Amino acid sequence: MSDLFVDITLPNGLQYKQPVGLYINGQWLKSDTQIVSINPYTEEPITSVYAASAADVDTAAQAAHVAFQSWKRVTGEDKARLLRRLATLTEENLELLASLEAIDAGKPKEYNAKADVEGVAAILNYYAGSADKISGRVIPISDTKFAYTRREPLGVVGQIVPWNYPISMSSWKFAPALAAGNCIIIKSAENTPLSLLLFATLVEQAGFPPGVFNIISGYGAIAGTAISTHPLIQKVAFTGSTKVGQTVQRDASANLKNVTLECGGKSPLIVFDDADFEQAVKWAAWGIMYNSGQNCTANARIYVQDTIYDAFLEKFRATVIEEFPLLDAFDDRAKLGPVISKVQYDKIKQYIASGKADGARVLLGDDTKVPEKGYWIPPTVFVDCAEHMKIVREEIFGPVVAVSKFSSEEEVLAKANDSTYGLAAMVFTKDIVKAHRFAAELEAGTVYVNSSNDEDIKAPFGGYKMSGIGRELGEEGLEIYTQVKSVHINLGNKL
Amino acid sequence: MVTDEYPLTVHIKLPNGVEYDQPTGLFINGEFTKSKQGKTFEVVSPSTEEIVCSVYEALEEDVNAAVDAAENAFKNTEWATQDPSVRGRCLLKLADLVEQHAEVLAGIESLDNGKSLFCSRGDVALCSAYFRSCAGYADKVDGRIIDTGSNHLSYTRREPIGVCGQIIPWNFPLLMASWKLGPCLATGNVTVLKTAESTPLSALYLCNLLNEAGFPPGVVNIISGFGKTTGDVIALHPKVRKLAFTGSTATGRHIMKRAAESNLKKVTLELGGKSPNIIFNDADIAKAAQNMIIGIFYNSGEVCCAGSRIYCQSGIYDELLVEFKKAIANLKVGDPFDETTFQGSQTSQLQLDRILNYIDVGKKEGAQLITGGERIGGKGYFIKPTIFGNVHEEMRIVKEEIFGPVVTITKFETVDEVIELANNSEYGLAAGLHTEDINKAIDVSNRLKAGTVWVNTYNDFHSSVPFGGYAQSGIGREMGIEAFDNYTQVKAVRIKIDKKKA
Repeated sequence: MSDLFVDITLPNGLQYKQPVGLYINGQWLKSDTQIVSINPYTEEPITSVYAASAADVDTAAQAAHVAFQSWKRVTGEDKARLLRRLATLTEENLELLASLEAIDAGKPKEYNAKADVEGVAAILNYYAGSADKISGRVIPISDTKFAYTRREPLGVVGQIVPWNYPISMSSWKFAPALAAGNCIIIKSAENTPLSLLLFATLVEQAGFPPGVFNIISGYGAIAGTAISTHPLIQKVAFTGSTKVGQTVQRDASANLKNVTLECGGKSPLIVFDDADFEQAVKWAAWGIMYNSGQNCTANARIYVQDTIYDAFLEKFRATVIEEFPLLDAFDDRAKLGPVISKVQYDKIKQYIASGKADGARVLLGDDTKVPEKGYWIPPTVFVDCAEHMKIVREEIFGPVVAVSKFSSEEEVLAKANDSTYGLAAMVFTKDIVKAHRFAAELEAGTVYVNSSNDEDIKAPFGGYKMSGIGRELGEEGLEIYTQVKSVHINLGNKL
Repeated sequence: MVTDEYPLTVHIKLPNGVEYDQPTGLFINGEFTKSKQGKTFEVVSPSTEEIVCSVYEALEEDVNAAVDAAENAFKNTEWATQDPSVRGRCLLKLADLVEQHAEVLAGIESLDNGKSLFCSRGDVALCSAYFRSCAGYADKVDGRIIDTGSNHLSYTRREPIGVCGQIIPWNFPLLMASWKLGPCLATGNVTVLKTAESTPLSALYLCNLLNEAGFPPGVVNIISGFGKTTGDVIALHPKVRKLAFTGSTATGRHIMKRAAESNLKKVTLELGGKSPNIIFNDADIAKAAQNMIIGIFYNSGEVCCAGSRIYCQSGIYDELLVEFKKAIANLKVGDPFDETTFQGSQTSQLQLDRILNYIDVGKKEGAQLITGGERIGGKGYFIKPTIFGNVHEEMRIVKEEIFGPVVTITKFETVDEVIELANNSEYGLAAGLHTEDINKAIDVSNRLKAGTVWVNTYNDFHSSVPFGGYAQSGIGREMGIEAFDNYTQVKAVRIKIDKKKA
């Protein structure tokens, strides 16, 4: 039994028991393989956890399938009660969860991890409020036919979540899925298994029936594939890179399961000369450096109108330097952490090299002093960029931004939309007509006017084009976990 | 009774031993105050006829103070404009607090209204469930974007109305308060709520919970008073933009007139009913009898949607009547605080007299008294469960709302006949029908003119299902998603978009 829990002392002194098993059907299980989770600040292992095999996924799917027969009959109010209890438990364990997330995901505890965990409680409460309000419609046809729709859960749902916001992205998935009446198997990313496992102890405490909420760690190629192909799993929801998203969609065709994907982005942020200049600079800096740029909606391409280009660059550079010093996770002033892993570090370094090779000018990043330990990439700003450059077209997923100049509305609109991605877009202007015109014309699932990455759990979020399929958050975020059944009652039509 | 000596809190010991502090003041701007003129009125326990305490009575100047406090909270604080999730959290906390204080609240309700603890506990549970349901909706009141072409951005917002006046009845004091407060507060409005003069106590107790739940001062103001004085001031008040009333049809009509005379305030009304409860030959007789009991004797028959006209198909009439009488014989009528009591007392002397008068009228009209028909004992307003048979449609006891444990029973033959009988009313609040045939159930439901049709059940409420009247039983719906329409107004915004060249 003690093998399934490891005593851990976090760098800020908090001590707790870290679960390391697979949480399936209300039990903690071991498996044949393990994953080591590394602290990106220290490059040292925190602990290892058990990784699910295809057989483990099958066990979970079978258990969830059985649990679903009862869970689907639980009233909305009772589901809401459990979700709210879980929200309360999350709030009660805020400090611990945030501290763990900080070292597993490599993000500042106070500025990033805490906000992530608070978001988990908020979204649980939001969807708890919806749980008793999932109604269909009555459709008038004639006196001899009574037709109505039911919105039913899908059944067993698989959810594969990323490492950039481990517990937060998990909540975007589990909260609506459970509220809608599904039973879930949720797999964390290989890089960041710990917070979700700790969260499983709260799920237990909240009183979810066994089999309803299953939590596993695992390798994408093994456990992830097992989920995507499993015949008992009716839906897979995935957040991660577009490349892996394509694999998930292909695998899901095995039993035609319902698929929703939140994938990559290369979101353009446009600054017109009639913008509130100071605010535009601040939001633009925040929108790419927050979470060290490891953010699907990061504004990794910035287009500045030529009339303010030089002034913008100067202010932007100064703002990034001031706002994003490289500090320790538990330093309350920290707003930027290292990137998640050696693999990501190497990838980003390669992009930086390609940027230079393609002729972009480095405004910031080359001379920044970096701590000795940790996968630190300093905030890197490329300017005078052009559309053919890899750093402009491809998702880097690090604190690296490509800034370009533009002169006309037509030009920047064309450039902004010239991408296979379409997750978000940002436009800064005081001109209301320009704002609404761009909101309508930009090919993106979310358009921010005069802000960036300013999402709210009540407003739907998701991608156009290869940034994704379906929407999370808001009402739409619940709908993707239901299916419509039409019922026709014959009140007298005879053949 | 005029006195400025009366304390703002009175310590009360309930008959079941529970003790608590009863607020007696007017709850305005987050605090209890005495009325400006110091007037109070007595609160009587209808099951013992004893005086419980007095409460302060709000007159015109007090109503004005409450309205001003509400207006200030609406205009000058962030209540209406903040992140709506905050309002949701207040309602959630309130729901939890109601649950924590459930036994006290149920006891107050039984003391003040005379209903059995069985009924009052049910009310308290429905109350917290409803606050919880509204809480979840607070942050989901969306408008829409409407595609009218690329020359415009057209969208709607659903905005709160502002200061609401809410007047609630005495039959479900706490529950009716929740039906009014829930959707009103979730959508960002503020309110002045007047309780019924016979039952002011539970809402006043709720005020402490409102503060604890985090509702800012002025958002909810609760005052005690009489209809003709307090209620009328609210109905006429120029700053009140919306009025919600539950009570008799006659008063509802008056309220609507006052709204029109003053400032065309928006009005929703939950009024009276004379709801038909229809039993078909193929009904499950034992279950139907139970549903008939719930339909007319639950809450001592003081229910707007009570199934007060029973129509029984001739094939099972005799058997059903036997079953019904047997079920009535098993009903315990008496002390509300006795855990085995089903039916408590009527709420006041006035109501007792009204009901006994109708019983008299029924006898004089030639109806056959099958059982009951008289008061029980001399202390406390208790009436025996009463059935009148051999009635005809023109009798007053068949047409008029009695609002007590008195039911008429009529035989019928065909579906067409009973639908005509059922619909032959100026009311249209609810209807019940009992049958095992789903086709008949849906067909008859489609044809009954009532805001709620219950099939094989009765008085069976749920927070998510709307409730309200056809015809003279009311205007608008409470509960369900529809309730939120009463407390929001639609603003359409059209922004012109001119194409630019550069």
